[in-house]
Amino acid sequence: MEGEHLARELASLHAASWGWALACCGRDPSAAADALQQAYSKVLEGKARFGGQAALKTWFFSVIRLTAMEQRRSIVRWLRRAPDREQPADEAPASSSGKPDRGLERAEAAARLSRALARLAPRQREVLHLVFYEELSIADAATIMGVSIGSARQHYDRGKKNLRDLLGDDLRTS
Amino acid sequence: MTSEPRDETLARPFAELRRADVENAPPFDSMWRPSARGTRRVSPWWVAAPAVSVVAAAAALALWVGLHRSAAEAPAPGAAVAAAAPGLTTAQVASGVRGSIEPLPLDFLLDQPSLAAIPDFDSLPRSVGRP
Repeated sequence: MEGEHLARELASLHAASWGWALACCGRDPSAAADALQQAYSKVLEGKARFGGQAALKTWFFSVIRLTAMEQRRSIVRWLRRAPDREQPADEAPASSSGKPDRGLERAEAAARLSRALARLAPRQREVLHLVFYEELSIADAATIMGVSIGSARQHYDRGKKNLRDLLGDDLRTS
Repeated sequence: MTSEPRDETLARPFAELRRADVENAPPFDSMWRPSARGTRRVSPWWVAAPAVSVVAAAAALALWVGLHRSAAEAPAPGAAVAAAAPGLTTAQVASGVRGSIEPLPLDFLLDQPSLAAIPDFDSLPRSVGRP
């Protein structure tokens, strides 16, 4: 894939990549920015080459995941800090649509989910993020995570159950 | 391939989270272009390896030149003796040199009775030691 074309494709994936980088870095925005920029650098410098075997999104998400792991050594370290960290969603303006209550509600829901995800096992959090947030299949999630589909499915099922337990009433009232 | 039935109760909070993240996402250009302009880090080996090679080559050249110069300037042993003592035989020069060396306390260890019996080279018959 040519440089310009690749840049355009990655630009179209940028929002999703940002979300995935946040997930890989315990939702720390500065760590996620570092990881994502490093991942872009790897692509530009040819350290990461898209071979076309998988979808570009799947491939690039693997690059982001590995980069975040290299950079932070351990996602778990970030997960442990995540509950105490102020979430970016909390700092977001009430709403740009002129409905402050709805905006605040959304921000709170996002923050609650963020905290609940941080309490899950890393694999469970990853697969749930990839399936629900990025709307990928479990097979794609397995490819990105570097595990078998069976293993990804197990993490998915356990993660869903645990997340439901953690969110509890929030899910019923939303 | 493996598409799960949508779990809307869980999908909804994820969608809210995604929306919040998108609002706070840094622009693509700010993350892509700085690296495209060449902010890549240069490995220290790219600087160190050529520098070490140049220094090693210069040292080798200096050593080679020094060796050749000293070899060219060094007088031939025979010429030095001849210059120091013109008209003397080798044995005379040798005995003179021997006489000028100060004896050391442990020199007696080098004394062997057989050494005293060695005849002087010039007194040997002309056929000995000559082709």
